[in-house]
Amino acid sequence: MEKEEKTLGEILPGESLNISAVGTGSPVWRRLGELGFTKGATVDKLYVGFGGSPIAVRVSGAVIAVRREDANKIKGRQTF
Amino acid sequence: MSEPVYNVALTGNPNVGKSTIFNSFTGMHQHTGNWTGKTVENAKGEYRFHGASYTIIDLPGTYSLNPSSAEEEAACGYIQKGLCDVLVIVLDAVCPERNLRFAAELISRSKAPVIVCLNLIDEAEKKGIFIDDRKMSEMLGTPVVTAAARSGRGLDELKTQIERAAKAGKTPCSVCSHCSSECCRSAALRKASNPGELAAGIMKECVKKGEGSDEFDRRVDRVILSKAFGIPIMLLLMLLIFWITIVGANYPSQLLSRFFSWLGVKLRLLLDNAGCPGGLESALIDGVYTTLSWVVAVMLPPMAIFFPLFTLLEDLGYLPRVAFNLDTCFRCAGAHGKQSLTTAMGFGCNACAVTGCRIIDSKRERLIAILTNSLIPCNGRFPMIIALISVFLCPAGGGALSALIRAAVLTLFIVLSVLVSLAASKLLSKTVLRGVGSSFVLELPPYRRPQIGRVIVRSLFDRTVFVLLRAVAVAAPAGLVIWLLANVSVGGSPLIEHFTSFLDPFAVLIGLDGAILAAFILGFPANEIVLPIALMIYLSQQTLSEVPDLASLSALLSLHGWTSVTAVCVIVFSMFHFPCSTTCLTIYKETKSLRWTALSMVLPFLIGCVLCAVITFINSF
Repeated sequence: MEKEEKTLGEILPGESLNISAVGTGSPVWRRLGELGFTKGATVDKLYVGFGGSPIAVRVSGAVIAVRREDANKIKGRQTF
Repeated sequence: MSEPVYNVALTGNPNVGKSTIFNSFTGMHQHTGNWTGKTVENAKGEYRFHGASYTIIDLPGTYSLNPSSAEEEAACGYIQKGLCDVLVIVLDAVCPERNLRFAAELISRSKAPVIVCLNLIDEAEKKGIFIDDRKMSEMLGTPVVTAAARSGRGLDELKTQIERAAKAGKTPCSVCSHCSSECCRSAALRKASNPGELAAGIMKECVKKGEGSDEFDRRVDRVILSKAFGIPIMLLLMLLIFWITIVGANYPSQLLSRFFSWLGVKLRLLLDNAGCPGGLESALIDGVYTTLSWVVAVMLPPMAIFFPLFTLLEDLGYLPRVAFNLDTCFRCAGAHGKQSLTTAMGFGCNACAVTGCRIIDSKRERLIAILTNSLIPCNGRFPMIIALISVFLCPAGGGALSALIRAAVLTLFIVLSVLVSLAASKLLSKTVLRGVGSSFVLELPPYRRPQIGRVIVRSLFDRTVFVLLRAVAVAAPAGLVIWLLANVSVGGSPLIEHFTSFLDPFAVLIGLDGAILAAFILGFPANEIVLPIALMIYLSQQTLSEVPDLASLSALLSLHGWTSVTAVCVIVFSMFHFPCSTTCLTIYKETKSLRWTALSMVLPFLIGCVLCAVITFINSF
């Protein structure tokens, strides 16, 4: 199993990520944190829209969709 | 001695069922729908229980005590100031993790006694999620009431717990009857240093999730959100809804038409026998009664059918999927992804959609959504558009196939209106409303089976009452005004003729005529009276002798020079003209600016004029 870090944007639908870092600087990150995008959380990538955006992810028991730019700032280790 | 009155506040994440609970307690009908952000205004209601009165307030959903929007701020302020006697935190049992974190935060910060309500317990059970509510109650230090608000399960228990909390003035202890609430609560909070840990602890010990608990939803979404099928499915659904509306409205419309013409004859007889002067009788029958019967017979059935269908789709949870599929589209147009939701709402009612634009946090993008919303034809405009399509643009016939063709043509026009609203959004975002796009975070809620029977009956009833009331309040007086304009003469010809001939030169340029334009202007109060007013103007020199149905409509309009091109121009103008009075008022209320309200009227009007002029110009070759 690879140990390198990937972003949420890079992994494929059906794969999962164990979050090690999220973005900062914009108020959206606080909202995403409240929704469950925190360090140590596991998120499953589910669906992708046209042109790679939006990206729907299973997190904290719910399904949340974010845009590609934000997904690219969520980094972590890929889990299977 | 006066009865005690207690204040209860309902809070929780968005889309957990607060409004459903509120509705069943108060008997009021706040709109509920399966998508986050449905409730944007505080709703207040009352209920009585065991001899005491309770005022209950339904706060908009919040994700945390750090507010990100004006609505969340209001809700949080309410909670933190302890303005209520009892705080009820409603949680979604299907999504316990995130909901619990919020609950733990709230419990530690709330000054008021707290009751936790674990709602949607039936959905959770179906998905194989089992929650030990007694253990949870111990760990949180508050009573936990399991409920399935839609079916009424658990609501009496909730009322009982609220009563306990209100009368005691503090959170009742549900673990031991002899200790005070403080001991249990502080014990729980001692185990965890922060709400996140407490939530995680509760998840581990009280919640058991079966494997693949959202399998069905995921399988459906794989198709609905797929790049290949997503948008075609959306178009097909639209087509289906329009088809059902057209087919379903046909027979009731005919019945109502026949009834009203029968009634009209009887009324005339009655007035004649009562010795009513000819002028007054004409004013009442040809003016008030004609317009009223037209609105009810032709406009009511499609509206009464479309709205419930739309509500079913909302309840199902389909709308956020539409937002997902169209987000890139809207973003390219300089708008916010959630504008697709307000666009969908616009099909129902533009005024409601304008209020609904509060789900868009950024002021700039909210304005774009508000200003372009009336480019989306609302319920009140559908019947006229359908009637004109049926008469001028489609092969005659009453079969299901012909209805399908009409539905398809209607779908094409609707797609056109959405494209125009996107273009207008782009225009606005490049000129008066320039700025950077804000981020987009959307929750895709689990699909919920709509309570089909209840929704259809409730929505049908509400809609019928609404249309009838509007008909009486707006259409009847409007009919009287038109009659007056048509029968009061100044300088040798009726006032209405002065008006229509004044408008005529301009109207012809855009493929209409003076009467149609006058009808649109006089139809400012409500869109559904535009066609009746136009007919009234045409008929003003004649008496009403025909049954208001499609065949006579066709004859009357052709008599006044209508062609298919006229019909197309009227349909286009109907989609793109100034918003109705209710919408304008709502826009002013939301923007608090005369400038933006004026723009919201001028922009669609200009678009309509330009498009109609282009059509007329092309046609002249």
